[in-house]
Amino acid sequence: MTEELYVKGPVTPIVSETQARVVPEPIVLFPSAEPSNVEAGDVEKKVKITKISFFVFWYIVAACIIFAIPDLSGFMFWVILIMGLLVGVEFINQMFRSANKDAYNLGVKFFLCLVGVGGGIVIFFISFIIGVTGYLNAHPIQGD
Amino acid sequence: MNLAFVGFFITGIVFTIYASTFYHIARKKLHGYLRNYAFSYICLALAFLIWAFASIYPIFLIDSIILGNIFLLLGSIFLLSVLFNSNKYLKCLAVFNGVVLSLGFIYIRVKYFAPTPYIESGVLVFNTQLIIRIILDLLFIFIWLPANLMVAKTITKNIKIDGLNYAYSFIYSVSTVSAALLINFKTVPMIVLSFVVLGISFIMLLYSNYVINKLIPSQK
Repeated sequence: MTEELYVKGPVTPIVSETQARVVPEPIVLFPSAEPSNVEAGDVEKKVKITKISFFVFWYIVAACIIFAIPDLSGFMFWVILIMGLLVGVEFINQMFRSANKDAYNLGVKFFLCLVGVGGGIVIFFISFIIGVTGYLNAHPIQGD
Repeated sequence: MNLAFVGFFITGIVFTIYASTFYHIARKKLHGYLRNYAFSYICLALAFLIWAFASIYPIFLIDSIILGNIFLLLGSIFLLSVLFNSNKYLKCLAVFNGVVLSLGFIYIRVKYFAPTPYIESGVLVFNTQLIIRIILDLLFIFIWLPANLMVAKTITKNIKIDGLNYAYSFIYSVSTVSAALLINFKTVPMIVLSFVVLGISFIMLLYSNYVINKLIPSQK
């Protein structure tokens, strides 16, 4: 009895139960650049970047306001630092989620990952700078 | 090793590459008036390159700060023309006011608030007076930041990816924040850190030009 099979994945057409064979995709060690100028349309709509920039923006504004308070306590320093870390990690997470297969097809996957990692680091560094400066303003190190 | 020279020189070169790639994109694929945006970053690049060379020739240090401020103001005037491009009358008025206020700023900078920069542990410390710092911060907040956000919106208008505008706005915002931080700090570790932040922001901006070029179809 001949029966057609459908196997998920990158396979050649199935002929029969006995002849079914899976041809693996060739392993590419150094893939070429992401495809460019892909026909847009529906694919573009599937790449959705979470709109967290405003959240980040308000976080930075809040941190700057706290920084402007002349007497920044040690506790507030840690609040700013940990908040910066959390927001940074969440930013990376959201950007990596946006960088899906459709983003790859459009050629923006690497860009989204870059913005995620770079943005996450920048958010943490800015928090660190603001926190340390605010704390040192309130507790200057006594020099000679 | 002179960290100030290395830092300012590399950042200046990065600004130049960013401005020139953006200029070509604006000429071929975007609105012509956005070329002024590229000119503003060329001004910023020139300021950074001047500071780089001043840090190895300290005799030129004080003059370099004034020159850098002039280029910063010139860049701001270019951005004013971008911001008010929709209304010709407003644009002329904004540019005229920009020129007058810039001349006033340079006058008080030279006459009353002369720069007092110094080099500490190989890092150029601007040591800007409070009032000058506030003026420069306001410049970044009210001209550079809105202009950057407007350009981000204009660029991403033709790209239908959901939320890409926010990603671009984010990159432009952090770049402006880090530039403002750099001017504010007086201690070496903070200056180095804000330099790192500025560098990362501009790596993202440089790559964003490549993405724009790929995603926006040519208008010609």
